[in-house]
Amino acid sequence: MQKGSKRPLTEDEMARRVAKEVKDGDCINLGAGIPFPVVNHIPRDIWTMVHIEHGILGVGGMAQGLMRDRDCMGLGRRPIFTVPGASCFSSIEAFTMLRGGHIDISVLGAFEVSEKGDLANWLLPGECPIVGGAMDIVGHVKRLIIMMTHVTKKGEPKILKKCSLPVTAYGVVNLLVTDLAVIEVTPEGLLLREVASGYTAEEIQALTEPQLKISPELKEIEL
Amino acid sequence: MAINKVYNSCAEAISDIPDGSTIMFGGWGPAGDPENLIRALVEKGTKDIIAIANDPGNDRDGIVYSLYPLVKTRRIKKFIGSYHAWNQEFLKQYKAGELEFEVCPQGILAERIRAGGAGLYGFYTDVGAETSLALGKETKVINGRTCVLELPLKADYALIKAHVADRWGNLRYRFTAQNFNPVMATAAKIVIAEVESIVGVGSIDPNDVHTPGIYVDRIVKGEYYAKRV
Repeated sequence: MQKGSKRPLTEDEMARRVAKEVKDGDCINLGAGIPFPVVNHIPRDIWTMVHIEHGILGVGGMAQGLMRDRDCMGLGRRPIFTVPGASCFSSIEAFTMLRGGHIDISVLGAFEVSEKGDLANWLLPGECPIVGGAMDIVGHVKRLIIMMTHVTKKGEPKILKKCSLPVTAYGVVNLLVTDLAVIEVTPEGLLLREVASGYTAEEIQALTEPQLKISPELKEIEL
Repeated sequence: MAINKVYNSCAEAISDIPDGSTIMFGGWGPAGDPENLIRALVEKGTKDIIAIANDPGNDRDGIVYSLYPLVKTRRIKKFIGSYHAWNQEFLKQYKAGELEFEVCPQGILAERIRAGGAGLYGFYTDVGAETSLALGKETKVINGRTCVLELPLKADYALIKAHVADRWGNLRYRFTAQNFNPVMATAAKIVIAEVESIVGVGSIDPNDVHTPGIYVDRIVKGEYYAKRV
């Protein structure tokens, strides 16, 4: 990213930023859609294991060419490859890891997040519900990171005082990584920690419904 | 050795499944998808199926998997699963009110099947307790958390897919092909396992068996696997 140029993060850059949250020894669950590419950016000099909900711990990334194996599926029903030390198991075991609080981080997408960390990601008005594994994960994983665009396609805030859509679970989000900012959910409210290149805290606030607290160490998102 | 669970074809293995049956289907995309049994079921014409599976499959990128052929031919009257997998045919029938969809969080779906197979009459969980999925369910506060009572799921038949079976029905899977298959093997009256190869009893090391043969009623070698993914 060219220093000073003002633009939102691409999805790949958001994935790179999320990957920086992963610490040595963490087991991290990745959701479908924009979270899954985080797998490509996790630092190689630390020990981590990537988990997917249908039964694998130790995902390496998307499989290419002859490595594509119909029995080794990832999210979006696309083939993946495993890393040394990986294990495969049933849905029962996969969700025991998630609901049992054994997974350190989960990264999911969302429609809306509230200032209290309430999450809405399963039901749009008049649409067929999308539940999948998210309800089992939120509220049980040690740390929940939400990755989403900062505003809707119409430019309306997705970070709200109170979710307008049906809530998946209340008070479960720990960190928000959007294309414009990194925001931590704290007991005192939302803390703006980082902004995309060229953006000011005031500009982020204008696109966010609840009042943001500004971190004294506010900085540009580093990739 | 009097007992013989091996069937000659998928058509034969599913030939007695009547209309209106409750059927569990293992699989996650093409991994562990009992696709030959599903094809045979479409050809047989079984209808009014109550299907239990993670998702209703899809035909995306020309890859047909899971329940898609049954949805397309309108054989499913009710689907119990975790999401629609963007199956446009499923969404069309759901929106037209032609197909009932009981939504169940994925891990809770697995546990309900486990309860059904393990002789349990239900369990309490906080999963989905703050959503409209909790409506009509009994609730109880446990350790300060509001939980809902989830009831067991059982089926008349389970159609599952493993990599290898021995002739008694001990099964072994590869990679992510386990998913819902092992738990569904415990929860149906008749369990039909489609496999890529059938080996002699004793050929699978006891330490390597994922699904013990006690759960499996019928074994059949899948006729055709597309070189796809």
